[in-house]
Amino acid sequence: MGTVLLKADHIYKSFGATKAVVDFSVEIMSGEVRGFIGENGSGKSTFSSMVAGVYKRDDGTMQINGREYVPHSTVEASDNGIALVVQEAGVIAEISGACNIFLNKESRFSGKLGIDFNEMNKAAAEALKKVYSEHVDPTIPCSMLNLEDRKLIEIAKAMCDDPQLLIIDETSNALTTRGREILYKVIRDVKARGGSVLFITHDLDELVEVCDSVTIMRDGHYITTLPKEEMIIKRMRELMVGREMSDNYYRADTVKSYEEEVVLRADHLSAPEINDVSFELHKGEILGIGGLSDCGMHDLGKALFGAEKLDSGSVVLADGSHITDPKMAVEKRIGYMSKNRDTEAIILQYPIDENICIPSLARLVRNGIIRSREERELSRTWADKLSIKLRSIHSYCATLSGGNKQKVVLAKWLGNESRILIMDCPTRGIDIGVKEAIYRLMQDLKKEGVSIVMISEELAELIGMSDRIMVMKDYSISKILDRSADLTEKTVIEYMI
Amino acid sequence: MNATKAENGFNWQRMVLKLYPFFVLGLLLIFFGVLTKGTLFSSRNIKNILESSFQYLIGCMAALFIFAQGEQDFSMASNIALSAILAAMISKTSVPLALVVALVSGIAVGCACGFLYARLPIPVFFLTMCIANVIAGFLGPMTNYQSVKTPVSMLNLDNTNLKLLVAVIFAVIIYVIYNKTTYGKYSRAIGASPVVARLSGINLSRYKFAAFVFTGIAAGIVAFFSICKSGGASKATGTMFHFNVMVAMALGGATTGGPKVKFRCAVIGPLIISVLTLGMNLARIPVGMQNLMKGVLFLAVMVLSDRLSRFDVD
Ligand SMILES: Nc1ncnc2c1ncn2[C@@H]1O[C@H](COP(=O)(O)OP(=O)(O)OP(=O)(O)O)[C@@H](O)[C@H]1O
Ligand SMILES: [Mg+2]
Repeated sequence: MGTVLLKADHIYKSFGATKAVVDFSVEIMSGEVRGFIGENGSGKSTFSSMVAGVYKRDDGTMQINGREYVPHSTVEASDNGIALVVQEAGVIAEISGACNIFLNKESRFSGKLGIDFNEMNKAAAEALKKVYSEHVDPTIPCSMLNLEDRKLIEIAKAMCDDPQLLIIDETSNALTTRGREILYKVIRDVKARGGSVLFITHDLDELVEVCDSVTIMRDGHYITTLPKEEMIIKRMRELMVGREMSDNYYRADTVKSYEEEVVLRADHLSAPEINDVSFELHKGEILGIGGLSDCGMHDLGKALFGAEKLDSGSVVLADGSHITDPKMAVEKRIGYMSKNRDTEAIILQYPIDENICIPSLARLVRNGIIRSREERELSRTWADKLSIKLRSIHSYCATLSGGNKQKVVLAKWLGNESRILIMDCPTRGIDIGVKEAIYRLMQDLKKEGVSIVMISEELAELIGMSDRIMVMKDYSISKILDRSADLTEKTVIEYMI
Repeated sequence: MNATKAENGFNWQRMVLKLYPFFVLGLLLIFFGVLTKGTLFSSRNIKNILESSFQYLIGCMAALFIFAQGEQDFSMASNIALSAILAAMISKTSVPLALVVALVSGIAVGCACGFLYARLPIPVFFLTMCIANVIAGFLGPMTNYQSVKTPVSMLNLDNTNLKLLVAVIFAVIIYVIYNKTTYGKYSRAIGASPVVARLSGINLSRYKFAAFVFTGIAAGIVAFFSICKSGGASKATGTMFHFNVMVAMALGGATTGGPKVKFRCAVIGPLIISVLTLGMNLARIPVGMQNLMKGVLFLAVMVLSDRLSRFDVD
């Protein structure tokens, strides 16, 4: 480690009345892997977006290798060797992976008759190979890839020109264990050739493992930077949140506990990516579902909600009714939090309060008219309960930070008093303070008799929270594991692969 | 934490951006008011403005639902022509029956469009265009390529006060449905994201269908009053209607589907067009020039609204 690669001095950025980044100064050395942590809405994405030329800063200066640096666009940033992997979906779904990787760089492949797509596809395969992702097909449209593979396309795109500074914004949560391994390898590669990485994450274990040092942000302010030897999880947590925190946020009990009553029964479900899956969900049960990202668990979640067309089989509720479409599921008080948050779970260009109320509206109608007072109360109550960090509840969801968007999704389904909750990666992008709150909430819901299906790629969360873990492999159930004190990640992984 | 605090007082910039169609209307009133030395505000001209905006007020308000869903209904013009012709034919027997026929025919065409829109995976643009053409094809032979006359007594119904009353009642009903019931909210949600709307338990086909019933009703009302006004109907009745509705909605601030489509767009838009047209007539601006000015204003508003969409204005 030697010279200063990026030096940011007294940076400010506001969105209207929201001060997202305030008087923020930081230095990143070349060859350093720097972690960035902070609560949801503390300004991590905003700062990294400014470095990557997405936003213009309001005030302050930046230097790259001692030179003044004022990026006006992402293209300019990438010319300066800075690449960003964004928090949410950063690929264009309609075009192929190759076109995404070489977006704005098509001229490299100009042949006699326009772009030489063969060359481009070949180069894309190379780029993917460089990030250990040969399994991803760069020729098909990205909409046909799962979230993890889309992320890998983005990583390949960021890495294709060997950036000096690679910024990774909260990506690990979209990745399975395998995807994460790839990401870590890529980070090590960048470091090995003297480049730097700015790594934003909410997973502190991962942070300790990957980073050389960590910078902590709170409410847009710089708090401190800790070197490797001082990166102690408890300490970092407290610096982030600004208060003492308990050590263990998962369930304390170590045996499964739920009522006998079956609230939902999956009966030989089959679809293109589900193969003859049958199981029962009990009242007050937290049923974890784990597996590799293409094992079919995400489709299964959708199918339980009636949103996936089944080839055969049915989802049956306690009263004998069959779930055939989402409308019916909502009426039967089932909630579904999709993993694809920005496209399937919330409407970005739509007010926060209205997003929260959508599923509940039908319930709030008297004589055909929506009771606006109850509607207002509902959204305010849940925004407060989940402490959604917002400027005005009438703002669009697009103005929220990643974690706060996730909270809106939760508010939406909790607001509808769901009796069955299907949560696909529920704590994705959520900071540890809120994560703790969500786990506590899940336990409260469990006590009230709500049943939860938790699909997750985080093994610790599955083991920590589930009564039973259903491990899936190749579209079918490979094993159902009961809650126990000596269940380890290793055991779960064994049934996954 | 701080969910409720933070509404940092009154924000002028936000307010202005949000309500810019009102400012456009205000500026036009002042501009032509001065240019015509106040004649614009004579009671006759005010009446004139209301008279000429009537049909577009009805059309825009009814089209709110389709606009909110991010779509357009191009069949409105033909629907009006068909309903007007049928009503004119019946009017010789009974005038009240003519009103019923106009409404029934309007709604029937609306239902047909709505049904196909909800069921078929065809873009609404093509679908409603096709339906419009099919109807237009029948109209010629149906009328022997002549206009159908109505009894003279019907001209008495061409009364500004009556129209004002109808418009106000219609406005109240649409306002309530659009802002206070699930129909309106769901339509906006569908326009902003059909995928999320579906996954939130909204039955898309039902609301898509309903949106066309509204434009159908409007077509019936407009058809009836148009035969009262002109004493007859022909296949040219209502020509360009959907196009004018589109322009009015855009001037009123509804340029894309979703939550930006507000009730006020449907009121302000038609008024802007009427004031502009009347003002230019009073100021004796030649027709060619008038079209040019309309075009320029339209462009300016579109550019402005594009700028606005980059702000967080709800
Ligand atoms: N486009 C925007 N318009 C208005 N406000 C915004 C916008 N983007 C971010 N904000 C606000 O700026 C603050 C910082 O957001 P930022 O996205 O940087 O947080 P973050 O640290 O990345 O959080 P997370 O961990 O949830 O991703 C938040 O209060 C957020 O609501
Ligand atoms: Mg972020």
